Amino acid sequence: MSVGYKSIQWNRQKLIYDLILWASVAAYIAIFMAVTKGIDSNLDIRGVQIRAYGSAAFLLLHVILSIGPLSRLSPKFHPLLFNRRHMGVTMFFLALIHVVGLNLPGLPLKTTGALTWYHDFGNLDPLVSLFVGNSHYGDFIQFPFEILGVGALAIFFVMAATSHDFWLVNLTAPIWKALHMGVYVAYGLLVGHVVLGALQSNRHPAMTVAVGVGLVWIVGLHLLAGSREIKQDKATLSPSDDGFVDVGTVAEIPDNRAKVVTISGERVAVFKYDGKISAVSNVCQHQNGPLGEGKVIDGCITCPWHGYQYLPDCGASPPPFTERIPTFDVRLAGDGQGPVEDQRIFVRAIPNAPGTHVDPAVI
Amino acid sequence: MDGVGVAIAETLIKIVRGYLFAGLVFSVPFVIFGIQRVDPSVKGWNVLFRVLILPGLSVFWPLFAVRLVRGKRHPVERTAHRLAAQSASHP
Amino acid sequence: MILSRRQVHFYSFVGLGIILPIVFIAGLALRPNYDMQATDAATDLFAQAGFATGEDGEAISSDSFTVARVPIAAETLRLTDGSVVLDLTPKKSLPVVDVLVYWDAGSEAPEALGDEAVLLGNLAGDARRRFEIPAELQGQSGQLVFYSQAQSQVVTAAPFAAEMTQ
Repeated sequence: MSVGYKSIQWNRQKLIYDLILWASVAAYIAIFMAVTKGIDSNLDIRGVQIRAYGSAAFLLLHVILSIGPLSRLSPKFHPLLFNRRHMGVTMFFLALIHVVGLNLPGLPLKTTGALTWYHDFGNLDPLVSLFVGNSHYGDFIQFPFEILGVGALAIFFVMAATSHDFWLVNLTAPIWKALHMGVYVAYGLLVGHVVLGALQSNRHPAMTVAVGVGLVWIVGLHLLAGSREIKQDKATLSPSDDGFVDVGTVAEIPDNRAKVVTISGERVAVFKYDGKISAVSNVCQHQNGPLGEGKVIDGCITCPWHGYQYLPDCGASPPPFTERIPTFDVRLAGDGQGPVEDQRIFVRAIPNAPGTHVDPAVI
Repeated sequence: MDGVGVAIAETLIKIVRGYLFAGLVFSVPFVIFGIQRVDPSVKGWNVLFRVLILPGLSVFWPLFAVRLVRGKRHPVERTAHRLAAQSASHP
Repeated sequence: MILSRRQVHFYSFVGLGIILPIVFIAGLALRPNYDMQATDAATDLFAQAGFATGEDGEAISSDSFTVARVPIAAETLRLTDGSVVLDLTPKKSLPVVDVLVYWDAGSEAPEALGDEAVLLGNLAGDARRRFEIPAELQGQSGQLVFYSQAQSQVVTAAPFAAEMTQ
C-alpha cells in the first residue's frame, strides 16, 4: 500500500452492501419492537429495546461467522466477504447500544442500555455494580452471565477499532488475523451469555431451538470447512534431490488460473497464463487471502478477497502499490518432447525473496 | 458483595481507564505529528481516517511509542515462505 | 489465512464444538425453577405495604382528587373489625417522586407540611392503596396533603370532609 489511506473505502457496491445491511438491521429492530408490543403491551419499552439490540447483534454475528466458511466451500459467497468488516463494526455498535444505550443529541432514537437499566439507581457506580452485582463466580448456572458479555464486547471493540487497513499494514496480516480470530472466543462467550442469561428467563421453546440451531450451524460449518483445509495442507509435497517438486501437468491448470499445492510449510499458487507458468506464494500480503483461488486479470494475479494484484513473474504489485510476495523458480520437464499438455511442472522448494523476478516457464 | 470485591472491581476499572486515557494522551499528538514516521503511507490531511484509528491507537499505543522512539517503521509479515526465502539468502 | 492460522481455526472449533454443546445442554438441564405462589405470608406483606388486598368492608363515602394532573379515586370503608380505611386508586402512576399522604387539620390548603400533620402512608404506582384512618381523626374535617419526600415540598392538598369518615 503506498497510495495513502482512505477513511472508509466506499465504492458503489460497498455502499449498496452497507445500505442493505443497515436497512435489514433497522427493519429487524422495528419488527422486534412491534411484535413484542403486540404480544404484551404491558412490557417495559426499555427492557424490550435492550433485547432487540442484543438479539440483533447476536444474529448478525451468526451471519458474519457464516460468511468465512461458506466462501471457502463455494466462491459464490465471495461478494459477502468483500465488505465483512463493515458488518463487524455494525455488530459492535449494536452490542454497544445493547449495553450503554443510545442517547445522541439531535438524534430522535433514544434507547436505554442494560448497564443503566439493571445497574444504575443503586449506591454503586453502575460499572462496578456490573462486576459485583452477582458474585456467584464459582457457580455454573448462577454464573454472572453479564461478565461473559463484557468479555465478548471487549473483543469486538478491539476488532472494530483495528478494522481499518492501516492496522493490517502496521500489525502485519498474520498478527492482525490472529487478533481477529478472537471472534471465535467472543462467539463462545456470547453463547454462554445467552444460555446463562436470556435462556434462563425466556423458556419459550422457539428461543431454545433458535439458539441451538445457530450453534450447530456455526460450529458444523466451521468444522466442515476447516477439516477440508487441514486435509489439503497435510498433503505436503517434498522435493527430489535437485530441490524441485513435481506439482503435476500443464493440462491440470485452466488458463489464467492456478493449481494450489503445499510446499515448504505453506501453499504455493502455480499459475498458467499467456502460454507461461509462474509460481508464487499463495498468501496475499493484504489480508493473507488465497491468491491461487483468484484469476489472472489484466496480466496480474488478482486476490479473490479484496482484489489486490501482483505481477505473476515477480510477485510485486504494479506501481504505485508496494506489496511484494515470495516467488518460486519453475521449469517444465520434457522440453519439446511429446504433447504440450503432458509436460510436467517442477517448482523449486526454496522460495525466492519477495518481489524477485523469475523467468516464467514457457509451454 | 463484600467491600473487597468492590475494591478489586474499582481498581481494575481504574487501571483499564487509566491505560486507555494514557493511550489517548499519546495518540492525539501522534496521529497529528508522528504517524508518518512510522507509516509513510499516511498522506495528506485526512481527518476522518485519523479519527477512525484513534480508538485502536489508544489500545496499541505502546507498540507505536516503541517504534517512534526506535525510529522504526512497521515490519513485514512473517510467513513460512518469507522466512524460508530469508534463511536461504542469509544462510 | 496462513497455514498455522488454519490449524488454530480448526482446533478452536473442535474445542468450541465440545464445550458449547455441554454449556447449552447443562444450561437448559440445570435451569432453576422460579415458580412463585401467592401464600398468606405474601398477602400480609402486601397489606403491610399498603396495598388493598384484603376484605372489602362497608362503603362510607367516595370522592375524587387530582394530584399532579393524575385523577385519583378515593373511597372510604368501614371494615368488619370496626376500623375505617381510605382507599386511593390513581388512574396512572404519579409523576412525582416519593409521595407521602398526610392528614392535616384546617380548611385551607397548606403551603407547607404542618407540625401536627399525621402520616397515613406512601402512595406510588397505580394500584389501589389502603390507608388506615386513626380513630381520633374519624369524623373530623381536614386536608389530605400529598407531600413529595424527595423534593421536600407539598405537591397538592385536597379537602377531606368529615362525612368521608362518619
